[in-house]
Amino acid sequence: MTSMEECVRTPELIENIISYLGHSDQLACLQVNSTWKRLATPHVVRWSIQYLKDGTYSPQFKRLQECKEAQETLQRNLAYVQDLNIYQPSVVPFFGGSDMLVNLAKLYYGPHQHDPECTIQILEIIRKNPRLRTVAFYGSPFYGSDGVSVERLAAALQPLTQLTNLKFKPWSDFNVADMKLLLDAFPKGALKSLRMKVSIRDDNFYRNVKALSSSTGDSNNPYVESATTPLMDLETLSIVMMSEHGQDDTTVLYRPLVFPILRRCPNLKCLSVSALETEDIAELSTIFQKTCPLIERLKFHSHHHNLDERACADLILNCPCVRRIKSWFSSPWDMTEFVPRIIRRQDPCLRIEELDLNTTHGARTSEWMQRLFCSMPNLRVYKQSIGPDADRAAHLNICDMVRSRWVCTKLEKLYLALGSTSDWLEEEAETGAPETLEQRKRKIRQVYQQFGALKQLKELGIRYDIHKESPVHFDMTIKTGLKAMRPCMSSLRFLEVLEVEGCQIGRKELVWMGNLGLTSDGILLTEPHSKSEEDDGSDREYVYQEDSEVDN
Amino acid sequence: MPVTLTSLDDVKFTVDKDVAERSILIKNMIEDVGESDSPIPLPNVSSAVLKKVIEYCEHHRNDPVQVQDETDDPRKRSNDIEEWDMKFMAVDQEMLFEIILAANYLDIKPLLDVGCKTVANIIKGKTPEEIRKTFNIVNDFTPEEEAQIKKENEWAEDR
Repeated sequence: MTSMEECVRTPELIENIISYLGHSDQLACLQVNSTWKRLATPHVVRWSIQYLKDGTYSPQFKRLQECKEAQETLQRNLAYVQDLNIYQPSVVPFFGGSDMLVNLAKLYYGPHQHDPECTIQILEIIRKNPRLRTVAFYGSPFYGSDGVSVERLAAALQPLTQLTNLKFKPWSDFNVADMKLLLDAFPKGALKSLRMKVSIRDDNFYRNVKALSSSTGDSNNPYVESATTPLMDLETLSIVMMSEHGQDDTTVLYRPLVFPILRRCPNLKCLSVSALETEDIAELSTIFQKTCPLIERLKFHSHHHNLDERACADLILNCPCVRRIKSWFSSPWDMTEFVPRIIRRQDPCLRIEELDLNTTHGARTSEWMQRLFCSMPNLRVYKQSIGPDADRAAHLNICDMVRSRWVCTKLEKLYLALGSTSDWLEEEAETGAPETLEQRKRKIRQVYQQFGALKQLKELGIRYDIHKESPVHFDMTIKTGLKAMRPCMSSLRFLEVLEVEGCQIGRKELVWMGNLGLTSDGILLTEPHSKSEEDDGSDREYVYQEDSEVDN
Repeated sequence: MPVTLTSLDDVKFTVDKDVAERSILIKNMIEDVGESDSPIPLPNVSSAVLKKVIEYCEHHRNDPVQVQDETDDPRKRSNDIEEWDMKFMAVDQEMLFEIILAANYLDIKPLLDVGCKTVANIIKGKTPEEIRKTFNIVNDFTPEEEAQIKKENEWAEDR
C-alpha cells in the first residue's frame, strides 16, 4: 500500500482533511465511499445547522425548508450536533420534536418574538441534553405571565451537572426571588460563568428592582444571600446594564442584584460591570478587598460625569491579583489624580499586564504616560483611545517615551492615539505659521520610525483621528506611516499586525511590501476608505505627486 | 542538549532538544526515559522524510503552542497556509503523504494540519469520481445508495 492509500484509509486523517473543506466539497466527499460518508456527515450536518441559524437570510434555508428528504436526513443526524443557535421560533419544533438531538454542549436561544409554545419545547430540548455546558437565553423568553415560569426553567437546569456557563437577559417581571431560584438550580455550585444583560427599559422590571432596593436597605439581600450554595466556583461574572431611564437609574440595580452576587463569589477571577456610579465604585472596592481577592480581569464602565478618579484608582489597587484591566468612560476623565495614586502604591501594579483605557476626552501628556508605564513594568498590552494631546505641540515626546527602558521590556501590543491633526490646524490659526505638508509628513515619519525600537512588538496601532477636511489626509498619513515603517520591518521581527487609522495590515502584507520594496499603493486595506468626487481635489493630487518624489 | 534520532533506514540525525520536542511523541519519550545519550529509534520514518520533518521543526522551533479553538463554526479555512509552509509542502504527492503519515505518527499537530490543508486544496472543486480516481479509492456504494445520497443533498449544492 502506498503512503497515499494509507492516508486516505486512515479515518482521523480523512476527518482532518475534510474539516478544511467548504460545504460543496464536503458534499462531494460524502459521495466518495461509505467511510468518507460517515466522516463527512457531521460536517455536512453542521452546515445545515448553520443555515437554520442564519434563517431566512440564507438561500439554502428556504431550500432546506422545502426539501423533505433533506429534513429527514438532518433529523436522523442530529446526534452530531453539539452547538445549536436558534433565532427563528419557526425552527424550534424541528429540533424539539427530535429524539436524536441528545449531544448538545451549547444551546443559544434568542427568538425575535416571544412564543410560550417554543419556550416549552426549548425546555424539552434542555431536558434531553444532560451534557449541556452552556445555556444562553437572549430574547427573555420566560415571562411568568405566559405560564412559562422561572421555576420550570430552574427545574430544567437542575439536572445539568456539567452546566458551567449561563447567560440570560432578565425577563420583564424578573426579581431577585427568581435569581435565587436560578442560582439554587446549581446544587454543586458548579457554575463557572454567569452573564446577565439587564435592560431596565421595562417599567415593570425597574419597579420591581427599585422596590426591592429600598425595602432591603443597605447591603443584605435576603433572597440572594439566603440561597443555599455560595457560588464557590464562579469565575466569570458579567453584568451589562442598559438603561433608557436616564443615567442615575442604573445605580439602583447594583445593591439588590450585583453586590449580593459578588459577595457570594470568593473565587471570582473575571468581572465585567457597566454603568458604575461613584458610590458603586467605592462599594465595589470594599467588596474586592473583603470577598473577591482573586480577580484577575476587570472590565468596568461608567458614564457618570463627575467620577472620582481616586476611587477608580483604588478600585484597581484593591484587586491585588488584577492583571488585565479594561475601562471605558463615556464622560471626560482626565486621570490627573489617577496616575499619582497608582504610582504611590507601586507594588500591585507590578502584576498589571493589560491596560485598555477608553475615554472620550483626556488631558494627558506624554510625561503622564511615561510615568504610567514606569509604574507598570510588566505591561504587555496597552491601548488608549485618547492621545497625549495636552502637549500635542511637542507630540514627538512620544518617541522618548517609547524608547524608555521601562516600556521596551515586555510590551507586545501597543495601540496609541496620538492626538488629532485637526489640533495642528488650530495651532496654525493661533500661531499664524502654517506647517508645510512636508513638515507634517516628516513628523509622522519620525514618529513611526521610533517604533522600530520596540523589537518585541507583535501589534502596533496608531491613530491620529484625522478629519477628512484636514490637508494631512487620511490616505497620506497611512501611506507616509507605512513607508516610514518599511525600514523598521527587519527589526520588528515579531510584528504581526500594523493598524493605521483603524485599518489593519497583516504581517504577510508587511513583509511582502518590505521585500519587494513596493509602495503602499498596492496594499489592500481591510476597511478601504471610500473616495468621493470632492475628495479627489487638487490638494490630494499634489500630495500624491509629492509623495512619489520623496519615495524616489 | 542535542538528541539523536534514528530513521527506518538507520540514518542518524542529531538535532537540538527543543527542535525534536516539536514532536509530542519524542517529547514524551524523552520525559519517560529521562536524559540519555542513546539514540531514539523512529522505525516508521525513512531518512528522506525525517530530514524534511526536521527541516520543518527547525523553522518552527520558536512557534507558540497552538491553542485549540472550540468554535463549532463549520467555516474552517485551508487557504491560510503560511508562505514558508507552502513552499515546504511543494513536494511530489508521495512525499506529501509520507510527511502527513510521519507528522501523524510523531504527533506534530501543526505539520499535520498544514499537510491536511494541502490535501484539502487538492480535493477542492473535484467531483466524487475525480476524488476516487486521484486517491485510488474504491466506490463501495450500490447505485441505489448513490442515488439516495445525491437526492438527500441536492438542496444544498451551489446553483
